[in-house]
Amino acid sequence: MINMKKFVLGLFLILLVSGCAGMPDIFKGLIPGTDNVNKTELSPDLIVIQNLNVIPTPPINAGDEFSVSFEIKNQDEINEIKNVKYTLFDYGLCKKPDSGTDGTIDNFAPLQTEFKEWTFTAPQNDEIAYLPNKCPIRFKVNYTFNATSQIDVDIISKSRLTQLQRAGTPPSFTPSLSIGRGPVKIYLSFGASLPARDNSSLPIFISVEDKGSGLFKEITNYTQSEVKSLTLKVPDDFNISSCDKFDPRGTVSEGGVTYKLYRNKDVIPIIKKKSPQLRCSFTTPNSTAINDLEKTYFITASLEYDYDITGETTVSIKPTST
Amino acid sequence: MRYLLLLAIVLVSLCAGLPEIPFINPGNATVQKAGMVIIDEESPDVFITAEAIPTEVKAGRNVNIYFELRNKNNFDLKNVSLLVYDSCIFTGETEKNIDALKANRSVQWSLKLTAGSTDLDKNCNVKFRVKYDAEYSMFQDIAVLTQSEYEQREVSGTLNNIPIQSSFPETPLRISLSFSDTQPFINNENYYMNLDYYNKGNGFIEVEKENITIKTSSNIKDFSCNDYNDLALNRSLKFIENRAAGSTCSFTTVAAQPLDIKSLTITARYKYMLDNSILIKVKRA
Repeated sequence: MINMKKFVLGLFLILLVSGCAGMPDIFKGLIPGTDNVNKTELSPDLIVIQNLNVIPTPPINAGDEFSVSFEIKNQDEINEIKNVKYTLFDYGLCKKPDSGTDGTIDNFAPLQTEFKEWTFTAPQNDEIAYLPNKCPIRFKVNYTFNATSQIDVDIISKSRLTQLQRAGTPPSFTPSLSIGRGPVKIYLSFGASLPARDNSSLPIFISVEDKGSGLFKEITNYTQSEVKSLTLKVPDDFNISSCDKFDPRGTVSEGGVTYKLYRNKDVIPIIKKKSPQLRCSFTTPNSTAINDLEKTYFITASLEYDYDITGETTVSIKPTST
Repeated sequence: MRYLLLLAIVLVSLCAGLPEIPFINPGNATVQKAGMVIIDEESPDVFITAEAIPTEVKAGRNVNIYFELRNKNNFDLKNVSLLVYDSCIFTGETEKNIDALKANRSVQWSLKLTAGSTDLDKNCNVKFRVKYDAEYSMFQDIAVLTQSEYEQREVSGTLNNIPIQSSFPETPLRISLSFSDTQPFINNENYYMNLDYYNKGNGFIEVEKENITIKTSSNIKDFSCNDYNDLALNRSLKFIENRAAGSTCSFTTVAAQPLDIKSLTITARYKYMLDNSILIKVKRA
């Protein structure tokens, strides 16, 4: 009897951990903006600082020369990055290099590596009061890049929806979100079940996240810079119904398709590497625009931004005996 | 204890059925890989292939989609059209049509599309619809015996030897006939005939009012159906999960001779729509 109970209990536990693992997520879709999305996210690391070395190996004798070398690498396999600037901004009591403290790489080709070296002079004994000391060597690499993300949405007409439902094959659509390369990522999602009905309200949620190791403080508004504001590119067939943080900024035609542009009117802060969630709502195209069937549209968000990554090392200085 | 065991069995049954086992349920018969689609089994009327060349294209460049439609049936398909209703980011020609596609013939179409600009590489599902009208006839033998002939054959055991034939072509619109009694029928008796309508393909079917007509045989009289006027369907058929509400007809048999076999003919016209998509990868310029 006891063995039988153990058997049933064991069976029950197996069911809990295995058989029901394939159960559908019943909570999926109940929380807006958390719908299933096929996400393709390219690497956040675009420009990296690598192989940071100090020669000779510290500690360095007071008054001696030492060099700090490092490599800057463009990890992008496709994009050339222009105007990559590097600046030395802190070197403690050590004397700065004669070769200058900053420089620019005009055209940084894909996968190119640039070697940089600064020669410093350690402080003299009297400058460090004959006591061991440390020179912090800090520098930053700055570049401008464009973050782009794109999501697709399927718009379906009422008649098509009825047709599919009657056929016993209710439509389902999982949007594909492509997030471009670079440390700053723009995430897009929808607050309505998909495919979206024609002529209905479609809330879009936008958030920006810094996934790199550097520093990105805020998103400027379009009054400061049109290109450096967060731009939402929406097909012309969509009509805005509400979008607190964005203003319409004209249209653009690409490949015979007209898009409406919306840009942020207020500065958007990046707090703990994340922006607050921005919400817009659009009215989806009418049935005529989608041939009274269904059509895939693409919504793009882009942002040009300046990004700083820092490199640092600490060089120990030891006094020399006289 | 017995209840616990029962509960466990119920749970096993419920949970075991949840994950889909691919080899048990092979799913849609469409053969699809990047840049190519073959539609065969899910369409009894037509065999369709669609092929994109190249399967991967840079923004601003052209892609050709080659379509071939073959009429598998032995009747003509009318008003055959192809519509690319969701061209993703492609622009260009999106429609082709011909008045008729004859039995066992095929038609080839080529659509030249140009990829628009894109900020990121993307997979484009170019969705298309093939639509056509079709008309076919089917017949069903009605065998009526006089009372004496019926009794004689019943005694001799030759009732089942009467050759009762029917002909139903392989079409997506399948009309299934069934009778209130097995044939042969007895003269001057009342019978019912049920018509059930099925969509045997994976597409969408439209059957409008008056598009199904019945031509009765001379060995039946007082033929009337609940949703037919003058032997023509008086409603459009709405297919829900591939089945439309059926019709019931009643009739009285009339035998002009001891064994009277005549054919009842049903002619059906329908519009059929097959949707599918072809995957083309677009790379940014």
